[in-house]
Amino acid sequence: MKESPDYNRTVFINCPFDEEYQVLFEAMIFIILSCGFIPRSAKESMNSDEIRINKIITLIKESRYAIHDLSRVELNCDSPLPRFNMPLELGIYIGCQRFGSGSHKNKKYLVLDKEPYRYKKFISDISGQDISGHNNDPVTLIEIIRGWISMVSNKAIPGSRFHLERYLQFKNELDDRCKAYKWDYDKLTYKEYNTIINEFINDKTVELIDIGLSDESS
Amino acid sequence: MAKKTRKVRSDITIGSLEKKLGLEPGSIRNPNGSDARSDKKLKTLRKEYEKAKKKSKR
Repeated sequence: MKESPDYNRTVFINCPFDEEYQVLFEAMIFIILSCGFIPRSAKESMNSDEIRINKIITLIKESRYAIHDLSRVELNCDSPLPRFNMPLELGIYIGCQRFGSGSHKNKKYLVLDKEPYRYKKFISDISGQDISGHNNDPVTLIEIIRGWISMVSNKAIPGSRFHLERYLQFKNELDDRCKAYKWDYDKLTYKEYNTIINEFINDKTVELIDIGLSDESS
Repeated sequence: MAKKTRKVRSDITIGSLEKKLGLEPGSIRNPNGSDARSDKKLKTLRKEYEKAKKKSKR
């Protein structure tokens, strides 16, 4: 398999896209980028003539890492059946890791749910793995993902406090940054949101470098 | 008395700069978002940011 140059820092996101999940989704994108990795999601392409499952398979193929959130596998008032897209994509990912050749063997994934042991009621075959519960809390989610990326990538990554402080700072600046692009804060596309986070992270680094160059000593 | 400004040498490594600024390793990033190698020189990173800035203005 020919790897894409960014394969080793690409994280496939398998999560729900409902409105309530948006807060968690935004936090997830931020922490992945803040750790120096590249999030990939089916949301990145709006090409309606592309078959969705093919798009997902391509994303899985191009990503060394993956985060699968099963927290919305539940009944809701719209349907008597739960949504099963997330477990399906998790299955494809595990299959790719097990049966794929070359770098697919090194794939690593994180499974999330709202509670740590709820999955046993609907997908008990994945028992024996560490499933992390985020309790629908973005702060917990950021801490879990930061810890997991640090562990599987074996890279030096600043602690959760650093990322949480930056996330709050980013949230405070988001509206102004959207205005600079003439984008609507509440209607940002996936790509626009990524662009703004990348710009924020780069600006913070430039600030650090500038501090380094005009260090004051008494 | 006014503070005397001492510039950090531009040949300082990113690892040493992070230490000097009290930052955790991996805090300073390359323009593409990946973490800058700890043995990379500050002047190299600055050049990369300048280049990225010019590219984004095009």
